[in-house]
Amino acid sequence: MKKPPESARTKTITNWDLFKVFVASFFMQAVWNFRSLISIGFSVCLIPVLGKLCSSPEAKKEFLHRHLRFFNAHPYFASFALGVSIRMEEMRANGEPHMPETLDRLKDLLISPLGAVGDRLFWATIKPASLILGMLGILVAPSVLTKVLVLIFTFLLYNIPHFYFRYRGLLEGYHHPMDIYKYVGQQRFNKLRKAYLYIFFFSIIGVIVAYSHHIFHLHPGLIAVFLISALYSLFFNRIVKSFYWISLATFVFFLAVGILFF
Amino acid sequence: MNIAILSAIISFLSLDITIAFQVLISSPLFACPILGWLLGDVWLGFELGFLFQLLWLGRIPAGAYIVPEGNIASMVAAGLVLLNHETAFPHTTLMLAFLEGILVSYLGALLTFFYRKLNGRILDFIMREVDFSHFKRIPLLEAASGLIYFLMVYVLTYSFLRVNELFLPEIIRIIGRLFEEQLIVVKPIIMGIGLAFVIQLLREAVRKNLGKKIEKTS
Repeated sequence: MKKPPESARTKTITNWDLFKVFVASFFMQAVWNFRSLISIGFSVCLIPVLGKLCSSPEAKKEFLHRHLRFFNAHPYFASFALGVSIRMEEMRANGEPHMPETLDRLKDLLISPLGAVGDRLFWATIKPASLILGMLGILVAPSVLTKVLVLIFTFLLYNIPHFYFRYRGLLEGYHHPMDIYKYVGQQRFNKLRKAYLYIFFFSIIGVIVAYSHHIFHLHPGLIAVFLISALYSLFFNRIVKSFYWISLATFVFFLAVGILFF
Repeated sequence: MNIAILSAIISFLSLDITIAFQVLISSPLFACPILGWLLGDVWLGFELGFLFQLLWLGRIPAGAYIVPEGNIASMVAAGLVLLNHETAFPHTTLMLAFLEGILVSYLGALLTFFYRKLNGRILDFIMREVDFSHFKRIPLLEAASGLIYFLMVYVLTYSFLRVNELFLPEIIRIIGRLFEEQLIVVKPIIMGIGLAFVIQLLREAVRKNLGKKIEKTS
């Protein structure tokens, strides 16, 4: 029996397919390279739906060539682009004209917001906030068991928003491909960012106080070393931007101070 | 524990940095207690995780920017301290481990650079497989790339631990006899440097927030 043309059939992506893409998205940055950045990981994420969206080898080739082109985003927020791509590829498979061109343009437009929002929310806020709160907990927890509980809490504090945005992004991208820009604006994440900024701020204060209290019992002069080395590094950072120079210069200078005065 | 196995564990944990999951397991706060538990001193593992965590937090791997490989460095430094935790000179051991950690973070960044260049070749292979319609080989090539990263980190970690196994105990003894008491300052200095980096990150984060408020009011 002759198969109907690809465009005449309705392709349906199920939630299970999206879940498989979600699982694959944990390897998004696996083959990061300077030419196409995360495009390989992005394309591999789409392989679970490849069979449903393209039946002929030629269609599959075109599909993969489209997605292996340059693409970059924050690894967690790339799932918004994944959802958009799946939906638009589905529309293309159902015969919508101009879909590949629209998808290419949309993906190009998403690179900047997905990178900026993700970097700012996760790398600059949620990650340091969670880890520094974890540090504070480790410092004040009295036993190994409580320290382990602190680590579990820290893991959840970071990974609940991480898993949520990975999965939610995929669904939102899939269900709202044409107005995805409404879902990836900075404003949408401001409340969450603000909450984690508070955690970040108060945890830093907590770490400074608790650590100073901790080293005071060993030698009161150590508090001065701790705080002055921080100020020295801050000052040094205004002159030199290299992490290695700042770390080594501060470390060696204060070692000399320690050897001379302790 | 055999350093070959320890290197394999560190390399495996390193996959969490970018290759797979990215759920924080490779961060010093998590990785050091795991290593401490495996090497028989979980308490020291927690302490090292606490000490090394702040240092690397301020560097954000945004876009194509390659940051110092702090997670690998912390694990190697923690491994060095834990392997030598029975010496009478804990501060000296920590000082040497920290300095080596800085070197490892630099070499780790170089490793990341070369690994990413190598992935350009993997992209060529994948393109060829797509042209030949060998679609099932694409995830295999992705896995191969992950394995290459694992092996690269393994070689780096194993070389460091092996060289240190030969020379570090003697160096610790020599320096420790002279300066162990004075080196009590090592921990506060490491914390101080880390604090400076994190304060800067916080300042930038808050400034951007304030910037938003100014935009709104104007």
